[in-house]
Amino acid sequence: MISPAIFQQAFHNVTANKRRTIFVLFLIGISVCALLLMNAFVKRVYWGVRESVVRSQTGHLQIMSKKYDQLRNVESSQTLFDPNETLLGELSKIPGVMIVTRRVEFKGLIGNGSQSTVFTGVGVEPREDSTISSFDRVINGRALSSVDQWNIAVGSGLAQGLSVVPGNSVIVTTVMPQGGLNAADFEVVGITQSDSSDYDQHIMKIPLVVAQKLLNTTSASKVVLLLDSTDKTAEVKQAVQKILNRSAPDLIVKDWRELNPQYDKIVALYSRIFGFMAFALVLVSILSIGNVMSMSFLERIREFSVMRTIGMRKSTLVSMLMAEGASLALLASIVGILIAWLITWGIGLAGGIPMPPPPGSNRGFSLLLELSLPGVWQVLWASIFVGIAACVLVAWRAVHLQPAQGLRHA
Amino acid sequence: MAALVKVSSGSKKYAGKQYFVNALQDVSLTLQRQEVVVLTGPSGSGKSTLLNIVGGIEKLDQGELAYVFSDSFSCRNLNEALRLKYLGFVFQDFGLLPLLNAIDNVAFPLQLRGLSRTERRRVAAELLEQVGLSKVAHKSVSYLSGGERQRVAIARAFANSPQIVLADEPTANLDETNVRIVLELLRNSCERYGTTILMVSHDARCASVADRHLQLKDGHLQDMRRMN
Repeated sequence: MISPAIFQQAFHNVTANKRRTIFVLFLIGISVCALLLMNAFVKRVYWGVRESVVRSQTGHLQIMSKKYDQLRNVESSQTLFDPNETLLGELSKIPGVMIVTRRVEFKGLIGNGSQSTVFTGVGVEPREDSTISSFDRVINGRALSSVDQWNIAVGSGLAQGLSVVPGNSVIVTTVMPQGGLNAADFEVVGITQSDSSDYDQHIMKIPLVVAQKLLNTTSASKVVLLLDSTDKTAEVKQAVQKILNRSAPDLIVKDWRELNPQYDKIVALYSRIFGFMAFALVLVSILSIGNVMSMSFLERIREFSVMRTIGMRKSTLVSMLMAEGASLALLASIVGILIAWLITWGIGLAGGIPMPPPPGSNRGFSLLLELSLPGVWQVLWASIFVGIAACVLVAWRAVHLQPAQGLRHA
Repeated sequence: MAALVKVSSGSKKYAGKQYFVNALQDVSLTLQRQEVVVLTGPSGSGKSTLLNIVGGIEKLDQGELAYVFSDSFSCRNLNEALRLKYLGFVFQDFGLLPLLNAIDNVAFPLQLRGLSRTERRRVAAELLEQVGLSKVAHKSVSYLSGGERQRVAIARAFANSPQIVLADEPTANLDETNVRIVLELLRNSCERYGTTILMVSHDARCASVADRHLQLKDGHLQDMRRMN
């Protein structure tokens, strides 16, 4: 069995050889810091993409009829349903649910008298929707309020296409679910902007009751749930499914991830990029530390030979060198984590790093980084692996060194 | 006296690129218990090779080597564990571990045997006291003089109470005063611990502490004189 004293010895060697230690601390420390910051950046991007779809478009969960899911036709009367107060009451009592609100979705043409374009309309309960769409910004005018009647808020792209500003009138024409056209005049009260330029090209929001009048229905297309935390999505979805199975078997529940499949694509893309960069950093670290350790091997040939001559077993020597590598990496990781923490703290103090709009988005954002505990753990273990891996070659050379030959080494 | 180590008709060659060097030719050597044997000879005569062979870190090409450590235990080869238990080494350049202080260097063989930190420090402190270095016990060996370093090395060689101490040119890098101190230490330690010492040296002064003085010349061993 390897004595704990060998690990003490290894740690002693690490702290005693200050020049080498500082150099390796610098190398691994910078890599650890870079990995942590990259991890924090990617996590922040994931968070931004996720929350921007949840808090400007879909909410965390949506209940809809099974037909809606099959037909994908928002105008069909078969896709509408009547969420009764009992069901809404039960849903709002599920722990973690903040808001339960109905929506009706429809499509049609919107015109300003001289030009028209297609839109996707959403009838919303304005008070609840203002919380669900908290990531939307009103860039001109105001948001819809619960006292609004024949008023609408339009996406910035749609407003630009129609050249309308708050106060202008527009004509909205749609097909009613039972068939037949309906049209009404509306006043634009606000122009909104989300993180998605595509969404802003066609979105139009009107009060739910007005949408129902326009569509000549009392039903809804969806019930949208907002939770107090995105992490509770799976748990709440399960509870919702139980309620639906019992009291509304024709309805299904979908979570934000199912509603936004592009999120997984973005995660997959960034994960590959991050994985490749992490692999490159780990490789560079292994080669750099391996190089430093190889140089120190030449300096320590006599030392290893003396140890082996005195009676140190090969396995003990390997353990000692591996422990040296691991100790170095551990120390360096702590340094790297501290530097990364200082950087993220500094970025936070400065109010974030101004970032340009990502592809498909309308607006830039301030990048705030936060170190995650799982991320720190991953990087810590990775760097210890790097420290040990970098010592493999040196350990191999040390145990294959003939002591008598090493003692002759000047 | 009983034989502790016996080399019989030992030969060793080193292969160069185009030729062989006969480091040892038909050498026979017996080390008795509790004797100090000094081996002298010119550079390249095979002194260190013989020492390494007795120390188990080089092998004979021909001939036999046998150790009799007790009535119940004898062997022909030494692995690391046996070297640690039965042998101590003193090197020409001291062979101290440069990153450790004096007491940790002395304690190192004890550490390899798995003694607790307290125990090995206690033993190492006693050994350092015996070589007169208690005051520098916690100093890095890099700050010690040559004589002090060799005394630390001698203390380390005796740490596991070995049966044999092999000293390769222990006085080579020392001044007159330190040569005398080191030789006295080796002689006294031999008497105190009942250890056999095989010392390789150019230095004729080493013969003054020897029970036997052997000389190697061109790979052949000659018994110069037997000391009283």
